[in-house]
Amino acid sequence: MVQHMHAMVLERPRTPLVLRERPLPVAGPGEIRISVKACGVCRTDLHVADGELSHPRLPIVPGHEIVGRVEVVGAGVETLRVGDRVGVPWLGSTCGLCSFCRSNRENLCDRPVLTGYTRDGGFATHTVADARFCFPLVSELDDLQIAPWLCAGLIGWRSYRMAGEGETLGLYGFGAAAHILAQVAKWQGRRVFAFTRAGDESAQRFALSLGVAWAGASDQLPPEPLDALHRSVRSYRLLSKR
Amino acid sequence: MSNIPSFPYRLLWEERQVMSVANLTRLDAREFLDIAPRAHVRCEVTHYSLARANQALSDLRDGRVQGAAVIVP
Repeated sequence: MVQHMHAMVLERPRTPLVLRERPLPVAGPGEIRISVKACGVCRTDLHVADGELSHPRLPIVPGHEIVGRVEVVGAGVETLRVGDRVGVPWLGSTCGLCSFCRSNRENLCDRPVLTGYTRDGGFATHTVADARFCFPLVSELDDLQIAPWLCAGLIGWRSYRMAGEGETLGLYGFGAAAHILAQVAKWQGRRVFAFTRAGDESAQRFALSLGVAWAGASDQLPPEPLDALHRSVRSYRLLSKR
Repeated sequence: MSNIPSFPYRLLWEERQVMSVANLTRLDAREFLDIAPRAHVRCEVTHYSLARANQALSDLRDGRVQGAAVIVP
């Protein structure tokens, strides 16, 4: 049995990640150890690596779009079994006690554990996670295909939902989250207008290939007024009164 | 992270909102993991070995990734 793992580790901000061998992590009570099969790379990983977020726990293994198989189940875990395919997102754990946790806003927890930022994440062969914040994945899709769902998908969905229910939707920046949300919006019968960096014609062609109604540069006006705007990269929105 | 550019107040008038989004709740996850398969979401993926994680980060930083970058350990 393998007793070691490999991980890409950020030792200091603004330095390249380094490949390290480490002892296999132990799953404590309430935790699972996961054999990582795929881990998406998110813009937040760039912010961590570039030292733009204030409180990383260093050294840290980045990566919070993890798909893997449960390898060890810690004491008291009853929801997951060895061999299950699970996803691990950015929200690694919460305190459960603060005013945010107690008002269905655990995303704003005062003392969260954040995967790949304050707890080692998925740029590794193995990782350990709080079982309560892992999700069984039952889709027939490949691990590779599902990994981007764990942040681009989940947090994209949160901001998509908050942008309201207009019939037309603008997506500013056509990265990983937008390419997922464009498909969800189309499935819901909404028309999507995709804005990319000026001159990025390959991104505009890519957006059109996913069925958006219009694709253009972010300094252009859309061909019609939009009901809701969703800026995917930094996630802020300008919502019309309709 | 860059500053948000300024814009005329009239664009925000009539109770329009600018809003940030932080993190996720487990409810968001359950909702999306239910809807994504039904919406037949397929990701465009570029994959990298674990040892090439730095390449994945620089490709993302430089806008060379179409869709999503994924590390396969």
